[in-house]
Formats: sequence, structure tokens, C-alpha cells
Amino acid sequence: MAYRQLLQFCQDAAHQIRQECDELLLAAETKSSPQLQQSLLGCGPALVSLLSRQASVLARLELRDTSTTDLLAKRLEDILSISYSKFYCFLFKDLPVYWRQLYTDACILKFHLLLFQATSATGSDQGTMFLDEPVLAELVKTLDLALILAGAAGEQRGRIWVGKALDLLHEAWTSTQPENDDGSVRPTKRAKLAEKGDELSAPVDMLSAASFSTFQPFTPPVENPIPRHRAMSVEAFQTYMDSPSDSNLGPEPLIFTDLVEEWPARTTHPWCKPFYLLSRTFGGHRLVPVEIGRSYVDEGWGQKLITFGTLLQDYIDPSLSPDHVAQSDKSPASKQIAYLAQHPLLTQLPALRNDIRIPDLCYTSPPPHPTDSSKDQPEVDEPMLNAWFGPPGTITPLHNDPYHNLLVQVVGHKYVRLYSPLHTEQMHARGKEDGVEMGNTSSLDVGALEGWDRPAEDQQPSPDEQASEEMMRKALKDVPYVDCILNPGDTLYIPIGWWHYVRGLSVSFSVSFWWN
Amino acid sequence: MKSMELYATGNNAWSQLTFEKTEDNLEEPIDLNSFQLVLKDPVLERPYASLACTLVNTSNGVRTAGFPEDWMHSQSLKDQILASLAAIAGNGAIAVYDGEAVKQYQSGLHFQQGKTQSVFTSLRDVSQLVAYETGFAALSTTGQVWTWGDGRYEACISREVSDTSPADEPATVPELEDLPTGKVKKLAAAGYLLMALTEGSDLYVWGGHPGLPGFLDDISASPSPVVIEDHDIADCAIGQSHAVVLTMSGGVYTAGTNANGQLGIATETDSPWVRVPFSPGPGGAITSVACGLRNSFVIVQKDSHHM
Repeated sequence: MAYRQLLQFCQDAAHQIRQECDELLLAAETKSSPQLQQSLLGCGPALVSLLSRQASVLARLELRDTSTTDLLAKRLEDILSISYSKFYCFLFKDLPVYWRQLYTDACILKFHLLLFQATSATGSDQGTMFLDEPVLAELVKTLDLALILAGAAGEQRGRIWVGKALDLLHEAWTSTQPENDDGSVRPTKRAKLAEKGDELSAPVDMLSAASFSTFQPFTPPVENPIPRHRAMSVEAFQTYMDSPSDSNLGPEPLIFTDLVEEWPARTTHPWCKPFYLLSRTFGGHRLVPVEIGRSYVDEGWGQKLITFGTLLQDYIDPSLSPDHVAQSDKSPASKQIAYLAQHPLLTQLPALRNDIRIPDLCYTSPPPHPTDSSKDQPEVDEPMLNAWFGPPGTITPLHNDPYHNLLVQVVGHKYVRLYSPLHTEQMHARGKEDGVEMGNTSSLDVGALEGWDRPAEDQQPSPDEQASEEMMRKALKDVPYVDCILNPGDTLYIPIGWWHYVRGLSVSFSVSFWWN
Repeated sequence: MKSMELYATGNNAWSQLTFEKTEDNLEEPIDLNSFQLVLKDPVLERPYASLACTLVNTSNGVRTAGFPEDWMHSQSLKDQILASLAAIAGNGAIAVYDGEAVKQYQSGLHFQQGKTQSVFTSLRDVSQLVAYETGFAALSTTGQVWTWGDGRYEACISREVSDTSPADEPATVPELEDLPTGKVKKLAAAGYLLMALTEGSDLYVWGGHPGLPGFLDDISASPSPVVIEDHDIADCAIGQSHAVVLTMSGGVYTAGTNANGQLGIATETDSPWVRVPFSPGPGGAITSVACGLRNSFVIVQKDSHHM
């Protein structure tokens, strides 16, 4: 049923795209207005016409007509690459929304075509069908690219359409998966992660499923612990922020130990279980952006899109991999670190969003930046949520943010060190690098200065670098700081402007809430 | 009596390679995968090809194929573009040389409204104006090359960028002065790549995008010579992610992406410089090459004995 519904849903979208394009083209012939220039027509009538033609070809498609589908697939790729090239032409904030909509609509049509081809290949039109793993992966990827790269733009379809299509696809997919005795499906059954019959592919219930490894390769000492509290009422927290002990500094960092006890992510929907996370990500097929490399200020650092399953198996917890024994022979140093960092994952995956709650403490009125009012941002309606998910050893270098932050540790342990905004001058902030403003990031590497991270053997610092490092070490030596190790369930309050260095100690999954 | 022929290959999604319409065809147009004859006329100048449209000056005026673009509504802009004295960048910005200064407009809409973004009076005696994704280059009659554009892509600017000489204001490229084989006589640009051809038939290339793989090796902010089997170069053209070169001995070479058949050869992968098996036929000589964003053109001149 869900499958037939999905096909219909796609057909409706193709029809709607064609109609929207044709109306715009007609309007453009009779008048030229700035409003029209902000619509899809901003891409130019030629591309609108090409998109409309492809939607129309899709509506007329007949089974097994491969020459038509080949040309259609090529034209959709043409539209995708033309619109994607515009993503580089502009800063994302200046990118006209019509380029993002063109990309999104081409993804929607491509998704439709892939689904159509899958139907055609299996000859199934009975309302159920079996989706091959590679086909499923391609279908999911097509919509995830629209979400991640283009923000799934467009008023008539956009994010809402993409979300619903993914829900229907999930329903169609799980309905064809074998069920367990308790009625729960085993979405990982055919997933690569479980190919070799480890415990994940055996019938399991959620509670007995394996958790992530809690192994901590290195645990830094905590020198100036941050006070730990049981949760405060909203009123008490407001009072805490309004009446700081140092009025020049404003409120200071705090840890709440029981703020998120009731979160499904910590109880019934355990994020510490790979099995659960896979069940919420299409058996690991969903695509996520990750940072590859130790820290975003390092040479060789880069961003790429990988599947959630690959992130889990190859980077987060190699003990999950069926080839684990073989992998452990390799030197761990040869393995790169991948970090899903500062990504609105919970917007991309609404199923996980339901596992958390926005802390009431975010509905307070925190004070402005204590030393630099130019950092204050316009008030946000809702807290901004970001997910942070990575293996041991991820590092977010010393930096500050223009919002107050509640950092919730859901899974694993993290070390955090904070320097107050009163010591900003000693933080050696970076400047503009390659046309990108880096002024919120310090040039000090806490891990290197403390001797926690040794440089690779082929990258021994030059005498000059050693001298400047020694100078920084001395400069930083007397700057006061506070630090902590966050345990699962802890919430760290980071006031606006506080410089913080964050280091994952074990497999770690955190959610941050920015508000003002 | 001479005759000229236009051959084309590559993207034809808007029928921009079809000058001779036979009848209204409802079928989706397909791309050309090798150079095909698309137009014949006693006089053919080098075509200008935008994403969806091809314009070429003939003995009967300007012939057009494909989907008319917004900017073609302005006759003066059309004329300036065909004369290589106006260009449209990938980010929508338009630059026009009016004989006295280069005027830059943020978009087609601003051009229609006459709202200039910048007027560069320092740019005089411009003989050619070209655009890439996020900026422009201009050639003066004295052989000087000026560049300007988005400062995030400094490799395309190819000169020192400073507060007194910002990326988005034209300034000359010192490395393209005093070249061993004479001054620059022609520019080509598209994507994140620029080329300069000297009077002594040397071709220089520079540019690149730090986040995107280029299709030519060793491209940097510093102009470096294009070496194709020691050939002297007669003409050059660049598309979104491909390039075409004509050698003095009449060989056509292409490099880059072939997704739409723009290389005119049978390959599915990105290709380094490969000679295209194209022959101008008896009595024919290739006079020039051109590129659209995703297609390529060759112009052939034939003498009367072989018509």
C-alpha cells in the first residue's frame, strides 16, 4: 500500500512541477516583474522549460522504454549539475533560493524516475515490491542530497514533500522486511553492516542489543572542575544568569546532572545502541555530512557525505564491523577520524528529533555578550539544534559562539575546557583565512600545548614552530580556566562568548541547543 | 567564392545545435557525440553559445538556435556579446564595455533597470571581455590582461590581492606581461579556468577551485603553458568543465568532461588532451574553435572547387 501511495505521491509532484513551471513561463511572456525573478524563473526560462519538459516526459513514461529513461536521467543530471555549480558561485547566505529549489525539484523527479525504474525492473505493480539494497541506497541518497545540499527548498514541495516521501519509502521498505516474533522489524537484515551474521542480524530486542564501546584511549585530568547541580527550575536558572558573582563577566558555566533523564534517547529509544540508530536511518542508508581529520584547523581536513552505516562501521565503532579482527591489525594512527559535527541532524531525521526534548531552561532570557555587544545576534524564535557524533579523539578547537549553549551529552564522555571572555586577548584569535572569517577560533591548540596529542612523526615541528609553541604555552599557563568531563546524561551550560575546547573521549553523541 | 561550415558537438537539450528546423518535433532533443555539420553559409563568424542558445553572425545577419535567453531582448547587449565586448558570469553578473568604461551589473534584472554595480573607468581600449563563474577578464589592445571577481577564488584572479588592489576591481596580471612569445592576443574563460593566447602561438592557463577537481593537471594561480605535443596553438576555447584547442597544424584537441558529448570523442570518463578525429574534408581548413558551457564548435572554410 505504502509503495503505491509513494508512486502516486511522486506522480502528483511531477504534475505539480510541470504546472508550476508552465504557469511561470506563461507569466514571463506577458510581464516581467521582480517577484517573478525571485521565483524559479530566476534560474532563467530555459532551465524552467527544461525542468517542465522532464516532468512531462516522466508523466508519459512507459515501462521498459529505456532510451527515453536514459535521456531523462541524463537531463535530470544536467539540471542537477547546473544548479549545483551555482552553490559554489555564491556564499550560501547569498545563494538565490530558486537555485536550491531547482536542485530540489530535480532530485524529486530523479527519485520518481528511480522508483519507476525499480518497478519496471521487477515488473511489480501490485502495490508491494522488493527494493534492492543498491536501489534503496540510491533513492535515499537522492532525497538526502536535496535535504543536505539544497535545504530542500521550495514552497509547494520542498522539505515537507521530501520528509513525507522518505516516510512512505520507509513504510514501503519495512513492510517487505521479515518481522521478528515481537512484531518489530529487522531493518538491518540486509544491510551491509550485518552481512556476516554478527549479533545485529540475530533477532534482538532493543534492551539486549549491544551498546557502543565505552573504551577511552586517553582521559585528560580535570584541574578546575565546573560545579555540578541537579536540575534547576527555570526561575532559579534565570536568577542564576541575572545575578552573577562577577558582574563584568556574567553567568559562568554549570553542569546539570539530571536535566535529560526522561529523554527517550536515554531510555526507551537508546541512542547508545547502534541497532536503534540504524533502525532510524534506513538501516544506515541515510546520508550525513562528516568532517574528516582531527580538527577543522588542521591540514588535510575536509568534509564529505557518507552513509550513516559507513560512519558507524568504519569510523565510530570498528568493533561493530564484521571485519573487526582484521582491522585491529592496522595501526590506529593510520585511521582517519570522522566527526558528524554541528549538523542539524535532527531536522534531517525527524524520527530522532522525537527522542529528545528542548530543555525548559532554553525558554529563559539570558544576558547579552559580557564584553562585545557586536557579537549579539538577533533573537531566535526556537533554539538551534545541532548534533555532534563521533569516535574517541574528535576535537573541536578552542573557539566561541555567538549564542548561549546547553550541550547535552547523550552517549559517551567528553572533556570540555572553558576560558572566560575576559581573557579573549590571550586566546590569539585567528583572522580572515582564504576569504573566510576565522576570528571566533583561537590559534592555540590545547591538546598539543598539554602534550595530549603528539605530532605525527613526519610532521615534527620546525624550531620556529617549537619556539612559538613554547611561547604560547607560557602565555596560556597563567590564564585561568574551568574544565570537566561530561558523563552520559550531563548537560553543560556554556554562556555566550566563553572560549571552549571539546574533546571526545569515547564514542560520543551530544546535542547542543543554542539560544538567546 | 568561399563557403564556411559550422560543426558542433555536445549539449543540445534546447536544440541549440539545430539551426535548420524541419518540423515541430515533440521528441526530446538528444546531444551530439561527435562534431556534426550544423550550419553552412558564405560567411560565418565565431559563434557565441550560452547555456541554452547559440548565436552566429552570417551573411544574412545573426542566426539563432535553441532557447532564447532573457538578455537577448536587448539588441545592444546581444551585439556587444557577439563582439566579445560584454560577458555574463556564472553568478549572473554582467560586464559591458561601452568604449569608455566597463560597466558591471549584478544581474540581468539590474541590467534591464540600468542599475550599475560598478563602473570601471580605468579600463580603456578593451579588445575582448570574457567571464568565468565568479568574475571577469579583459584584454586591452596593448595586450594587457585585467582580472577581477569573487575574492574567495583567488587563483582565477592570478595577481596580488590587497586593500589597495581588491579582488573585485580590475587590475593587471603582471605574470602575463613580457612573455617570451609576445603579447596576449586572445582570452578564453569559463568555469574556474582562464586562458591567454600569445601572438607567438603559446597558450597559458590558470585558475582552479580549491573544492572542485579540475580537468587539467597542475593548474594554479600562476599562468602556465599548455603543452600539447610541442604544437603551436592557433585558437582556444573553454566551457564549464572542458576546453578545446586548435593547433597551427590544424589539429583539434579537447580535454575535460564528456557528459554531454562536448569532447567530440567516444569516451565516458574525463579526458586529458586528446586529438579529435575530425577532418575538414577536401579543400577545407579549420579557422577557429568555440565552446558553449557544455558544447563545442569548429568553423571550417572551404574553397569553391570543393563545394
